[in-house]
Amino acid sequence: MWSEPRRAHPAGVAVLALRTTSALLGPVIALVFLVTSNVGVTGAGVGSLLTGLGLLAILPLGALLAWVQWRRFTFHIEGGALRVEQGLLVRKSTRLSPERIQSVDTRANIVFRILGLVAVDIHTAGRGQTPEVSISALTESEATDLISRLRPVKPTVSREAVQQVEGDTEATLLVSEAITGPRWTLSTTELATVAATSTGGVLALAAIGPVVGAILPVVLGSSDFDIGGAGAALTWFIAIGAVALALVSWVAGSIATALQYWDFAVARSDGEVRVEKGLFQRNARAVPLGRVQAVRLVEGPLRQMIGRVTIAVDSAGLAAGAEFGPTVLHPLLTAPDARRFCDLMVPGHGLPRLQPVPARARIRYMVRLAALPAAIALPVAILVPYGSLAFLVPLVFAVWALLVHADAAWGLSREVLAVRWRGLARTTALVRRPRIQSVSVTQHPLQRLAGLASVSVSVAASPTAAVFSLRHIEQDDAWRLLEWVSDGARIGADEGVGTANQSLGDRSADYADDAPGNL
Amino acid sequence: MRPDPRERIDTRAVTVWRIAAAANALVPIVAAGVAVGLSLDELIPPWMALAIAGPLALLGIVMVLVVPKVRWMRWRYEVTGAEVYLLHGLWLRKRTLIPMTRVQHVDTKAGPLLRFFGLSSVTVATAAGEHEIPALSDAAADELRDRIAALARVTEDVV
Repeated sequence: MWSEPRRAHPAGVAVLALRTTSALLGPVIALVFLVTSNVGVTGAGVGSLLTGLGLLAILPLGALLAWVQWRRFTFHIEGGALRVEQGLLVRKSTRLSPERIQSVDTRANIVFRILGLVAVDIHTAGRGQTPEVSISALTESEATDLISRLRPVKPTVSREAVQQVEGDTEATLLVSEAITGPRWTLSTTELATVAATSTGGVLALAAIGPVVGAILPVVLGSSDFDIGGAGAALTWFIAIGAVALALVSWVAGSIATALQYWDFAVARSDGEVRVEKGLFQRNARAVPLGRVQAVRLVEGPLRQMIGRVTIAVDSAGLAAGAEFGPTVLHPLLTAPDARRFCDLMVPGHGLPRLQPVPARARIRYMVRLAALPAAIALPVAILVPYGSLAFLVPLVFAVWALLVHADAAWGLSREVLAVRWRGLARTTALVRRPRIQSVSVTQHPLQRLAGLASVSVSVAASPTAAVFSLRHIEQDDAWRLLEWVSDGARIGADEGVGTANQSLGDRSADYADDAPGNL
Repeated sequence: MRPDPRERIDTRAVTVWRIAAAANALVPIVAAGVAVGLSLDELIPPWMALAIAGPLALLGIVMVLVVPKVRWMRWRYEVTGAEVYLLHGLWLRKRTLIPMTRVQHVDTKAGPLLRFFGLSSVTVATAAGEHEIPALSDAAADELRDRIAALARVTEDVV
């Protein structure tokens, strides 16, 4: 089925045509406007009018171009690798071996779903925003079959071997590749909870606060200055309108999230984690376990309140439209479930014991976050009637700084580094030592006096590197982190002939020397 | 705490940085000149010219004469079989450690200014970004680049 060069499903022509036409549409319309703008003004505009119409004729060319593109795009499997030939003027031939694949996405919009088709995006590392190979349309069964053939060949491990290597993380990681885990899905209640607690919703709700805060002094002030009933009514109208708007956007955000997570399922099979979701636009992504660069446990403010955590992974080379950044493996888990889930889906990422940043760093967090708002609030307080309400802003920042400080923590186990920080959500990043691309410890003279240092760790991720950093940890701890990475580097360099687990753990680094397989 | 990296970058870096800083300092220098000129034309009182030109001149001197020297003094690097270790920063001291197994490629680069002085910088790239060792002599940069490439290659063959 795959040994002979073949084309994408003919529906792909439509997809490509839409893409090229929409790319052409903007410039063409702009040109047409430019050319025809003086028609009628100068009188003799027939030439311009014809030119404009001529320009419009370019658009069908887009469709023709798409058809040629589709015809030129052929692919087949050759010696276990995917061969792709494409290109109209610049011919491009790609040979993609399964080892280099970072993840495979399938996408289906509503039309594709009705037709039983999917688009397939294959991501390798270091390709920025575009997938290495993008097949415009395949039937679902073809896609499943193709993807299954593009898995790296894995060593088979017997049950006894599992017993033998118990306890050794690296080896367990390898052995557990054979596991095919249960599917995790979302019940209707869970889906509703995910939707209602989405970040967009939180932001919409949070937006109400400042709006009310900004309006309140005016409302109070209005009675003081006696601008009359009409003015006050208007202000109230604005305030209520703003709150209503925030509620509406929260509901809209929730619905969008619900549609996005509709019929969500995540399962582990054959060394990869597969996530599927979406009602109208249905996306599926398979991330090979060996490609996981970091695991994130994210607790958004609302989800944290109800004791739920979102699990996401960073992997290199992902891209594709809106779905970039960490891949969410599960949006809503209780802490014990999260532990079980991680053990199964992303083994080897056990949470080390966390150690908070020292108490004496608290003042630094507060100054950094609240000093600027306070400096701005001061003149406002002096100059504006009821301006002292402006101090609510630095107060909010100060409370936030307390939370940021209280949540900042880190931990080390033999092979895993944990960094926990809070922005709006509280995030705990778990990084296996071989995944660390670089580590930095920075210290300015004031920190040195206080015996503190800031640390940051870089990990390959997409679309850009992920940097996990923490301010003001004990300086001795910072040196310990540096040594831990250094020890890992030594082990990595000294390692003899690569064992299978090493290659599993480190393959992601190999994309280094071979640029995308253009022949 | 681990000891500082052993190697220093080329001393000519100071000169290069001074030239670059002087170019950047042109704006304050011109501003100072304008202030002096205005006071000579008696458009502004001399004390005002002094108040404007004095700090600007001081800033220029610090930027051009002091900062490059100190920056050079504070730049250290060291490459062992297992890692690249960097330490730099005037005020914010930054220690960076890059495991050799994570090095993807190494480049040497030189703009016109660096080339004029026979200097190159070495860029070490990982999957999560680049790190630069500025201003080594061409020979040292080439040697370092090849050494890192070889070390990274060796470990790469293993994994």
